[in-house]
Amino acid sequence: MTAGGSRWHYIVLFARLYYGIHFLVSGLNYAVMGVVPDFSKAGAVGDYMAALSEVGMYQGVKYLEIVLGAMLVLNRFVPLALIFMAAISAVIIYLNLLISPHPRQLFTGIQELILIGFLLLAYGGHYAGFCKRRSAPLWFWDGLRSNDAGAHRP
Amino acid sequence: MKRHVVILLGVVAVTLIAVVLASTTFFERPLRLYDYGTPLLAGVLTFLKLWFDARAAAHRGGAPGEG
Repeated sequence: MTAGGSRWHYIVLFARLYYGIHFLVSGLNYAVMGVVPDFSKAGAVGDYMAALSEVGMYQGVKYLEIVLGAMLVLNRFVPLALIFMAAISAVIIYLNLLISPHPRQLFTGIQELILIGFLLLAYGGHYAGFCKRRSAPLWFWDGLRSNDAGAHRP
Repeated sequence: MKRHVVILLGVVAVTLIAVVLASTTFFERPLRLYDYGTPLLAGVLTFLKLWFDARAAAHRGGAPGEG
């Protein structure tokens, strides 16, 4: 039973669209509507977000969310997008599950955990090459070339 | 086709119920489109894709989601 096989095909598609739209809406809410969540009741998380905003990191992540969300919705470079999304989600999950006491943040943390966890599993086969015990150096472009040579053409 | 619809309907329904219950903490807080709208839209788009695939497969004589 493969992740892209007929039984899982539409479930993976649903999760990809769900997570992609979630990122897209979150980023567009900030970039277009200018919505910034009220972190004043979020305790230590509020201080952390304020510090991120001060150095421009919060804004940068919001614009990155638009790009990553669009990549997932349009099914372009999904494994690459998931790596960046996992980094963003790890921070969100840590803050929302362990630091922020608010129930809404608890929901957000669990939602992120389930979606990124499932998608990383579903697309995890693309990262199998990362798990070699011993690896020789390989330039990125050389890896791309060997990928192209090994790709199955229909 | 029918099996795909039933499985997808179940997954989307369970997800929506879980999102509604968890995001409102069992209706203690107001329901927001921001929370339930995302899985709802993703579900609708997935059903549309399933429908288009089924139509295409009907012409080919295969099953949707294959290949």
